[in-house]
Amino acid sequence: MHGISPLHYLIVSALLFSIGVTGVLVRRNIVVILMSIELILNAVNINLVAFSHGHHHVTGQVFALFVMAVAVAEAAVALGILIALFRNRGTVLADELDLLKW
Amino acid sequence: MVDSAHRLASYALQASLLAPLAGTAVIFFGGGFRTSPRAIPQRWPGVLAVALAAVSLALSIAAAFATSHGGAISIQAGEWIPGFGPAFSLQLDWLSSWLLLLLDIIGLMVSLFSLGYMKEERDQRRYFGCLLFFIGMMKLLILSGSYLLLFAGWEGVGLASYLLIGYHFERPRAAGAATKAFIVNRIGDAGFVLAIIALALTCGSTNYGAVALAAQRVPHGTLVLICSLLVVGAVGKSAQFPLHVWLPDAMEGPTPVSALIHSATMVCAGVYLLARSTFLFSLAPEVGVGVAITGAVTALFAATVALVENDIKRVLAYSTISQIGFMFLALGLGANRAAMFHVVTHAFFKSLLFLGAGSVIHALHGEQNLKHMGGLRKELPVTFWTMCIAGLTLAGIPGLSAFFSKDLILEAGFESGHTVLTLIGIITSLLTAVYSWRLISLAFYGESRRHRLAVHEGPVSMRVPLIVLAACCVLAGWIFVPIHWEAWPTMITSSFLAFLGIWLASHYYVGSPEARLAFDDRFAPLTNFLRNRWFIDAVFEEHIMEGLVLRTAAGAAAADAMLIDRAVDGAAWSSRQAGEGLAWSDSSLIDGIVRLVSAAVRFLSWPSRALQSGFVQSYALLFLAGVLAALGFCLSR
Amino acid sequence: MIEAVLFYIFAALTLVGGVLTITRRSAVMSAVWLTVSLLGVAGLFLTLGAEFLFVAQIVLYIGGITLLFLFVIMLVNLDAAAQVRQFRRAWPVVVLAGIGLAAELIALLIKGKVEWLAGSPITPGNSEALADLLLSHYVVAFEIASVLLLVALVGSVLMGQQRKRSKEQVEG
Repeated sequence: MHGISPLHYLIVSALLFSIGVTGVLVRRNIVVILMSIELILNAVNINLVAFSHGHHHVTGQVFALFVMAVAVAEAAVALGILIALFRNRGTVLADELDLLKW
Repeated sequence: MVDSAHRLASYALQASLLAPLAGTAVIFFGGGFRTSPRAIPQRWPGVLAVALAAVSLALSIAAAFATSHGGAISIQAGEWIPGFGPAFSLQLDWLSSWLLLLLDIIGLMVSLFSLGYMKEERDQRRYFGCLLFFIGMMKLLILSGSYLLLFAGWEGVGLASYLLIGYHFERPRAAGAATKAFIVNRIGDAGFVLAIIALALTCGSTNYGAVALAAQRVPHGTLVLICSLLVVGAVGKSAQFPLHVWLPDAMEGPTPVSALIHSATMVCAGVYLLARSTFLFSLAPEVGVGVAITGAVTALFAATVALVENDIKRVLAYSTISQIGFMFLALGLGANRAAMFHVVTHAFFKSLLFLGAGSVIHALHGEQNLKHMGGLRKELPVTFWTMCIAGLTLAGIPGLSAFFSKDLILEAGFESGHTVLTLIGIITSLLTAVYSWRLISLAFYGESRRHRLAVHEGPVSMRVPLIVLAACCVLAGWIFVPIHWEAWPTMITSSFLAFLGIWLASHYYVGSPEARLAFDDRFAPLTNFLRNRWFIDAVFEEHIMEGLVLRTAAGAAAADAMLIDRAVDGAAWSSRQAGEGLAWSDSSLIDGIVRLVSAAVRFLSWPSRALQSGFVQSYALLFLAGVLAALGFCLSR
Repeated sequence: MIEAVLFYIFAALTLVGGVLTITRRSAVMSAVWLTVSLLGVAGLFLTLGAEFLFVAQIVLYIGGITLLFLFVIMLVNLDAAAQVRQFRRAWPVVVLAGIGLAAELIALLIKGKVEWLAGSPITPGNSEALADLLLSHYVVAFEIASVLLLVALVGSVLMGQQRKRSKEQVEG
């Protein structure tokens, strides 16, 4: 590794994380929101793997594997909810789901 | 021993004063507050009144007995104005004990008589309640130890008199008579009040004892004024000229009322007042002369009118006025004992006369005109004999009580040297004999001019008082006062006058009608003058009643319209303005404040409401904000 | 040298893909660019020596998740959704917040002074090492993850069932 310090990876991770958060907060379409959540999780994975490489230990990668598994499960369930929501409300826009409003 | 008896006697005195008043309270409050009288007259008010009168009599006898042995009883209580003397003081000495016993005896007799006489009346409670109230107030008057308390009783009996004269208030004549009585009394009361004020100012107290002590130092002119004012009060209450006009009209009240109030007790209140104030009048003898003149003139005038009156009660009313004139004459000449003695004897025979008249009226079912009576001698024996005794007493037949009392007065007149007054007294005595026998003969003798033919005596409750009082008429003279046998010329003179008067009356009224008619024609103007009561009543009606009273009423009405109605309208207007002001402030201020509060809440809650948008992304944005803050914090460290 | 180049390429792929994911109007395009971004992440794994994860990433994410997304997009018929406004009204605020977040994180990282550890990298056999650790120390977590995936499988099938049956269940 020449010139590439863990910091580079961490910065990439931070940037990806920010992009994902922005995406969650700025898009109205729930599908895109879910995609943004995947970006966030991936940013976390980059972080974990970078430190795993730095510490010469695979524990970080194990953790990243588990994150991946949970992310997959969460995506599947979330999309199932989205379908059910679409069938009931006829919309996939987060703005129109305001039952939490006082 | 004497001290405890004295104390018991003072308790008895207070109980005697309170008993009739307690009875009034029981009668007025005990029967509920229904104002309309019952269909069937109640028995209990009358029985209660008689019982209380008997109890009072017993108590009074006990108290008087203690006085005669142990000296005067004096009860003092309370101090309300510093240095002014006790607020409440009772005094029982020889003067008040006579009147106390008199009041209780006659009160009992009248209550008993009323049981029978007023049996058919519907409103028993009002009658007996007022009767007991009168007795209680009169007792207060008699027993009081100060002028102020006397005045309280004075006013009380005035009120009771008004209530009782106006008992049949549904009759306009009765209501008018009650009002007239009260108004004329008021005129006298005005004088009395001024006298009390003057006494309070000059002597610092109205207690008899204190006044007697302080009177020495009061300037003469003031004393004359005070005494004159007291005389004004006495004249009003005792129906002397010129304030006598209420007494004949007061006959509109029930007859027992007239017996008690207007012959025996109330009208003597004025005499009592003047007798009490001897210590004042002795210092101002000029007023005494005025009193004597007033009494003499009144006596003569009233006796002349009594000669021609046709209503049985009015004859007695004018007779009362005349006899009280005699008492005033005695007082004015300084013969206090004579005056009080005459009060006692007069009370007996006058109340007997009134109750007898009541018995006659009751038997004739309401007939009061002498022209429609006659020949009742056989059919109402008890009434006839008792009234005979009373009439003879009035005339002054020797041996009966009034003979002695009138003699004392005539004696005083002879001794004083006021020949004119004494002459008036003599003439009046003659006239008294005439009209009294006229009354008896027109009512009981002669042919029956009645509308009703079948009459009978009243019940026992009405007969017993007549008999008792007749006994008193006979005996009182012998019991009370040592007889001045040495004044036998006076006795001879008055006896002669009495017999002469009776003979004249019986000749004229019982004898031939033709002679009577001839006499009437010759003296028509005189008769007319007398019949119209010397036109005094007319003058009174026109000038005082019409002029004063009605103008006062019109003035009051105008004042009411201008001042009071305007005040009421003003109050209404201002309260409406206040109401509108309040309404405005309510709608704009209060509502404004409320709206402001709600707007403030809405304004302040906007951020919270905005936060609760229901959008998960907004919530997440807030999370992010928090995270940024946390990171910033970490950065700054 | 080549690591640096590879790193930059993969990093660029990741970030550009991410940005494009969140900015496309059409959901399908978003899915496509998501795939690109995930590919970049996989490459970053490779440069970090995590071969197993590189493969897992490609198989799971690109082969599974993106496919899933595309199917769902087709199911919910996003043509109509594409006509309406795609971004929230407050998007400048959010972008600002996102930039702020990135800035803060990077600032923190730079302050933190992270260094590679000295020494040789992981002994040969990344997958073996992973498997060793996974099935010894973390076997419980491994099992639980399996259960989780089973539950997610059942759950998503249940959620995705047709309306008729769910309506019957509601009314019955």
